[in-house]
Amino acid sequence: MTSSTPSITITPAGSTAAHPAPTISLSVTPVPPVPPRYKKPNYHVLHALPLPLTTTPLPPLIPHNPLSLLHIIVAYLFPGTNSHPSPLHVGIFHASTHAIHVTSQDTIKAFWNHGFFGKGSLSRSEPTWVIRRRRALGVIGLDEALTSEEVTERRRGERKEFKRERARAERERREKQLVEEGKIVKEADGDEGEAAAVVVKSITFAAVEPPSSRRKSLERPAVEVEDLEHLQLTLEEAFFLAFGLGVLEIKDSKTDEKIPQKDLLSLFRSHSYFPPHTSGLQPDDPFMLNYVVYHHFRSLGWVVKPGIKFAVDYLLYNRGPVFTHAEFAVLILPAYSHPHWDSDSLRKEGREKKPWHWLHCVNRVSSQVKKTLILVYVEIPPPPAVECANVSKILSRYKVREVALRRWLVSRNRD
Amino acid sequence: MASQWGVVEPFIIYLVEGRYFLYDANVVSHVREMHRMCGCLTGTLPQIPQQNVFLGLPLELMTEEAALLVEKGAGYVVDDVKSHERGLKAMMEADKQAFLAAREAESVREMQVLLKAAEERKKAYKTPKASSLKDGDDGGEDGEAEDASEEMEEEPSSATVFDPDTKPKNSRNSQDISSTALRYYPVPSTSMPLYHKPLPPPPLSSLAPVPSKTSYPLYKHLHANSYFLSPGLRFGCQFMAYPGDPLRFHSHFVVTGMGWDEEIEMRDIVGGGRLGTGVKKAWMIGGEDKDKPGTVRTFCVEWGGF
Amino acid sequence: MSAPPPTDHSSPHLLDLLQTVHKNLLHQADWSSLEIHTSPSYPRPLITGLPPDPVYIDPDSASDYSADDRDALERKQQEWVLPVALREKWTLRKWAEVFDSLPEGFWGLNKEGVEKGKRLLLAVVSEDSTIVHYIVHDGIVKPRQN
Repeated sequence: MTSSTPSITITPAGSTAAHPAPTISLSVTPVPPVPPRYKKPNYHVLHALPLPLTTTPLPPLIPHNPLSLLHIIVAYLFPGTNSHPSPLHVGIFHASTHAIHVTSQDTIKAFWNHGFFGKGSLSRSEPTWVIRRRRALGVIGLDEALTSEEVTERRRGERKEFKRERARAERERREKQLVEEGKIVKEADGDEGEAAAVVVKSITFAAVEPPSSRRKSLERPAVEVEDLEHLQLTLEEAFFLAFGLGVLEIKDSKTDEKIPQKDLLSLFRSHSYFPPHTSGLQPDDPFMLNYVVYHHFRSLGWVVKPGIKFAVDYLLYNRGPVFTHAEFAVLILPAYSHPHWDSDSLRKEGREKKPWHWLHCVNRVSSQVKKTLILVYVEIPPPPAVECANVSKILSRYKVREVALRRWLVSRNRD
Repeated sequence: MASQWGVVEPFIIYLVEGRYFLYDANVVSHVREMHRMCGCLTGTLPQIPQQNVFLGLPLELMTEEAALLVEKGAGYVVDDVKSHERGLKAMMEADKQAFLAAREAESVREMQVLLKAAEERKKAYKTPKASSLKDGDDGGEDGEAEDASEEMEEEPSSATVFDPDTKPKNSRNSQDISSTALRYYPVPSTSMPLYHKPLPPPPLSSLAPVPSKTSYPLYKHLHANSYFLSPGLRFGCQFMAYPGDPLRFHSHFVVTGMGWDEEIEMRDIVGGGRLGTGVKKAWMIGGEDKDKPGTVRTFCVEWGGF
Repeated sequence: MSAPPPTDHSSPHLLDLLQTVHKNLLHQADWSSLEIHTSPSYPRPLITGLPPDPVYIDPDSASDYSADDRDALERKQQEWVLPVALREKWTLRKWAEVFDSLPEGFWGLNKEGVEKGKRLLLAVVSEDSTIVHYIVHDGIVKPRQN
């Protein structure tokens, strides 16, 4: 048993760290009365590319100008810019988290900004831990570059305060009534004082920036916060980037050597179990099920994110989490329709059959957050006679069917 | 041991097509008051059949409720269809005649009550009218009323179930008393006592549905802790658990029963937690400890809040 | 941060899970006084710690707002955390085993002076590093006020 110590290492500014030290301007000009409002970045520009690939459109074909055709041929055969980054992005496979970690800032930016791949390991979505930590240490101002976590936290704080206030009012009302009914005798001043104390307390709770904080911001400590966060890619995301797009190279955390593409699939399949399976890959491995569905929806242009928070397998975003909420929640269900599985009642009965109340439960949870539930049935092929090494061939044996589910109420769906 | 509802235990629980029903409003009240069971009203209302918001008798019991009532000795299960057929077959001619005579007598009695009431109404109507100017109209009104009642009189007699010819003589006598009367045959809301002669309480038939081994111990456990339980399928669980009568309290738990070693996916635990917290309840799962029969463990899951 | 010494009874994949949750509680959820429990008396490795805000407030004391209760609200209550992986399957038996291994009387007394039931925080770790937390009570425990 060890007691742990916080592991934020504070290094003096100017030391060689992964990112530049925050610029601190010690200007002598008077501080403007209104702090500059934090501006949201222009998401439409930032996330213009749907995938981390560079594409160059071919020059236009002008029918009466035969030279334009030549131009197209040249552009097609000798593209000016490479669509793939060179060298390729690098991710490290960690058996401890069953995931791929990315620490290079360029790669994190490329994967998050272009297609919303991965998640900050200490953040809700985009890696922003270091910003929050800097604010906590006073390196940056209270309202500077607010992260989505902080916005949520403030909202929750306000809500909590509202509830406290409501509970207090309720109690006061009840006591007043009891006094009126003569059931209790009110102690003269004590109560009054207490109530006032509570009110005062609640004022301190409201997160109003005191005027002195402006001055404080001038005395920002010059510290460098070590970024403990990495971008974490799920096995499916990493495989899509490596196999589907070919922009990612995956190294093993233990040997620091590149894992060849042909070994990736079986490695990921065995690590989709907890604890990992060492032998006996099955056609209904969790990785196969998930990847087939992930690849399917990514190919159709959806931004696919894990959906555990809403008790589903995936969430489908039209453009990405920064633009809109996910409209659809995906639940993956294996289907053992192939005659091969008829004899395997353990799978057919055990994994296909679910109680009705389970379906109502998942549907209610999705409708609570205004998402449409999509049941995605993956037809499980029989085990191959010979284990095939061609990933495309393996994937082509799977079929996907989608069923959208919505509760229908007689009385509410009349028109 | 008749309760305030006049119900004597053990009462009959009717089994129809694998479902348990109570037909008698008194038994329904008794079960709710004395046994903390609400069941589900399933009967449609004859005048507004195209809605399912307000329902009436019969009351359908959950399998768990029926099983517990039988286990406590408060009720016993009777297969409604079989006992109906058996009762009809075993009925003697004398029983039939006696039944018809009793029904007729009841009908006559009802009619006389009605007649008497009508007479009194007429008297009360005529007394002030005698002083009024329009005396002559009285006869005409009476005649119309007579015609109408004669037309309607035909219907009940042709609706006699067994044999129109056996219609007892005294019915004609009663018509002699007054041909203006309306005839009613009482239709009881419960099954006929004629062919439901109290049978010895049989053991729960092996064909009757028994509650699932995963949910029944949990049901009994919560019931013993004075919770009211109602079916929870609509809400995504097996039972809703109320701390008192559901008309007075909100439910506290959405409950699902499980086997001791039955596997549940983490994703579904998260789903259960969200389901409960979304409606300010806790999601409860539980079941019987395999190693300690009779012991039920329950676990309540709520969102962690961060 | 010092790594906990691996013990024989805990397999490496459970310790990896423990590390992940520990790091998350410390750096993302701002918990303090974190302690790791890998003794063989527990069926699984567990964590105790102090959350920045109370995770469960007894609904009976939350509606009242007398000074004592307010103190009770503010009082810092240590919590037990059970790390699990999303890909794991769970059973009632596993929950019973974990609860039975927790100490008695850890959660103080309720208003009536009766010992409060056991509870723990289930930390479900997903492969994308999302961790969702759910409070699990042993027994029949009223939901808190929302």
